[in-house]
Amino acid sequence: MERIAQLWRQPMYMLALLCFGCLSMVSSTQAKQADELFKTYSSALVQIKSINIGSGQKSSIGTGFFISESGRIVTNYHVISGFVQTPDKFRLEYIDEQEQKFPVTVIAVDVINDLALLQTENISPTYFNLAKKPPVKGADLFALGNPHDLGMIVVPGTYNGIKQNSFNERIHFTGSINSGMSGGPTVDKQGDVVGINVATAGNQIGFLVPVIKLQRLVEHAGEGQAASEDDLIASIREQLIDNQNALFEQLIQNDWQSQKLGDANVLKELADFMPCWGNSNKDKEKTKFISASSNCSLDERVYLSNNLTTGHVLVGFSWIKSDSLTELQLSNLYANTLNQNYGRNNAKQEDVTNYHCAEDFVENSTNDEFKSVTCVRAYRKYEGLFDVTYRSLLLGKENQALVSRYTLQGVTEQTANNFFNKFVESVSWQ
Amino acid sequence: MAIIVQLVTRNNKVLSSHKVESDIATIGRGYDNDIILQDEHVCPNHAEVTLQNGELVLKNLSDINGIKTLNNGPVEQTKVIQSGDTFVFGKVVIRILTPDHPVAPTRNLNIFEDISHSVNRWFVAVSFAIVFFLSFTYQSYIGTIDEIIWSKLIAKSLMLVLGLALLPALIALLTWLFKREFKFFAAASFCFCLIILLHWLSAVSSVLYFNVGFPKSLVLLSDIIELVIFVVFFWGALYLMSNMSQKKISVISVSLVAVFYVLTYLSNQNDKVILAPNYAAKVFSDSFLFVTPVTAESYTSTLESQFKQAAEEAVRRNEEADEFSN
Repeated sequence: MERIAQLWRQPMYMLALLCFGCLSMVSSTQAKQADELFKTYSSALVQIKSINIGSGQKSSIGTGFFISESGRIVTNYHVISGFVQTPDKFRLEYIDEQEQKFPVTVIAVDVINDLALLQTENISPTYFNLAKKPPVKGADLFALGNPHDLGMIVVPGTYNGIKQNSFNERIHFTGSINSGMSGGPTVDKQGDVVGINVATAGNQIGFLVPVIKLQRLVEHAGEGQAASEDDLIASIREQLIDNQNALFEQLIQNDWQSQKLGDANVLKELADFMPCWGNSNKDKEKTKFISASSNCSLDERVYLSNNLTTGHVLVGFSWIKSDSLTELQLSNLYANTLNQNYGRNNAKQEDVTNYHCAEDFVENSTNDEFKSVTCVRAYRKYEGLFDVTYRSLLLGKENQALVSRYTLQGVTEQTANNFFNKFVESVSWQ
Repeated sequence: MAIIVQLVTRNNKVLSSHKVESDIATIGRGYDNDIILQDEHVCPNHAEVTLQNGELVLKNLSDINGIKTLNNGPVEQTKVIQSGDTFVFGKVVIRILTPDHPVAPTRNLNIFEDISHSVNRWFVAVSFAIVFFLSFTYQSYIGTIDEIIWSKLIAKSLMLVLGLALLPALIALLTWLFKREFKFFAAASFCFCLIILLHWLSAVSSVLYFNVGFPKSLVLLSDIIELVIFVVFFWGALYLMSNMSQKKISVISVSLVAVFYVLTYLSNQNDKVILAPNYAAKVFSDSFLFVTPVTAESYTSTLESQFKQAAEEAVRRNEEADEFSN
């Protein structure tokens, strides 16, 4: 999935083709509905711009929509994240149908579901209602937004239920959602919002945040007014902690199935939203060893800023065996594998601390001994949250070894310990 | 009686001694002198030293350049001097003594002198070089996990051996300059011996690191041993190439290493965050393992301090950033 507000990948003509293509495919009744909807609601649609104060230029754009007469506007968190993270560097404005610009303030955000609630001093007689219940599978939906700064458009598509294998639910919308449409509403035939445009997987596969998440955010915010930087960061921290608590509670409660990797027992999918992929070096020439690996990764992340995403979970195993390498050569090979960095990371100096590592031989209840290295770094803005990366080497067998490792992003110490305790009991020789 | 004339360097090192078995000694460039000096700044008949009633008298005969003190000061035409006084004739430094001038106590031949002589043989140096060559080649061999190209491994090790041989060559050159001694093989034996020691030390410490990780005390100990080896290196090199006393050599080599260490430390100061775990665990096989494993529970309790350190670092960095922006 890619974040649609930031990426301008496709050339313009491709985009034009794509949009005309999808418009011409739909039936004439659908086109009529779309036309009417657009006419009715176009004044409730706005473009959201985050302006870099230093350069005076826009740094991100997205779509927003009014959900009340009193000037509440909804958009994606990732459209305004720059302002939330460094409010002295950015200012936010919205641009209405008549191309007029007005300032907006941030009331509340939900980083887990990529939502933001904004407030303007203007009133809006036209606004969107939030749908009370989810649509039926196959229902016609209409995504609204301003792709690539080309002007407001409507994209018809189909509701295809909740995306399979997701921890934080997303609606699978068959229809193209493009960069710049982020934060726009997707409505049903009645014009009620069923989801908020958030991401695309390309080729007519789009993802929406279910409107229930927005309802919760709106209820939680109540009549609240503009939140301070500290309040927003504190609420983001709470959301991150709650989210990792919920995620790992489920992960750890699950019955972890094991599978064979070489002569070792390793873990299968920890949950259906953590798919695994396998690989081996069998296709390589002139190798003196066999290596097979399995890596499982959580399919979602939490976007915090341009530099920082978190919430990723990665678990992997590499089994190595060789009959032709000497004992010390094998040790070198094990060391190379063990010391590989695991998990991508885009944090910057401003976001995190150095890693602090501890190494020891750890024995589990089946008497398997793991040379274990755990490295921990803290988030500077979100006290109590850490990135934890663990790697271990299981020796004890001639000519072979197993490297097992995981990376948990944005977890508490307690979560990390609980995960370790279960993990170390789940890996062994056969 | 006799008069002794020594040619010395400005650093008081004796180049040659001449004994004139008479109460009068003439010094100059002319071949009729008792002491003939080669320097073209010296006059054919430059000076005359006489010994009268146990008193040394120096008489200047030169009308060009004359006689000066070591500090370039003037010397009277005729001067009563003490045994052991030093003067400059042209560019030549000369010391004049009487036969009863006291000499420094005899020094024992020390053990280092014996060692440096006995290792100053080609086969000793070559043996050390071969041991180093073998141990380095073996290290490359166990570090190669794909196809082994022996000619490549050997070429690499030979290059290293030849490159490292430049170090004793430099020491030997300086020894030749300062002491006119040929000590290349002693220097080579010494250097290769220390390099082998460093190499083996790192192997031993790797095995220890494999067992216990990188506790601060062990890392410190290994750093100290490394520094001691560097001190020994400078000590040996200075001993080989200079005539300084052992005490002086010790002071110089310890200070050199200390200065290098402090400068390295200061130049590596860096408070940038390293964004990937900068940790390379050592791995050997089970047969090198001698520690007993801990339980998962006790491991997580040792991790507490890592979490604490990370959290403290976050607080420190935030405070520093706030201070900087204010």
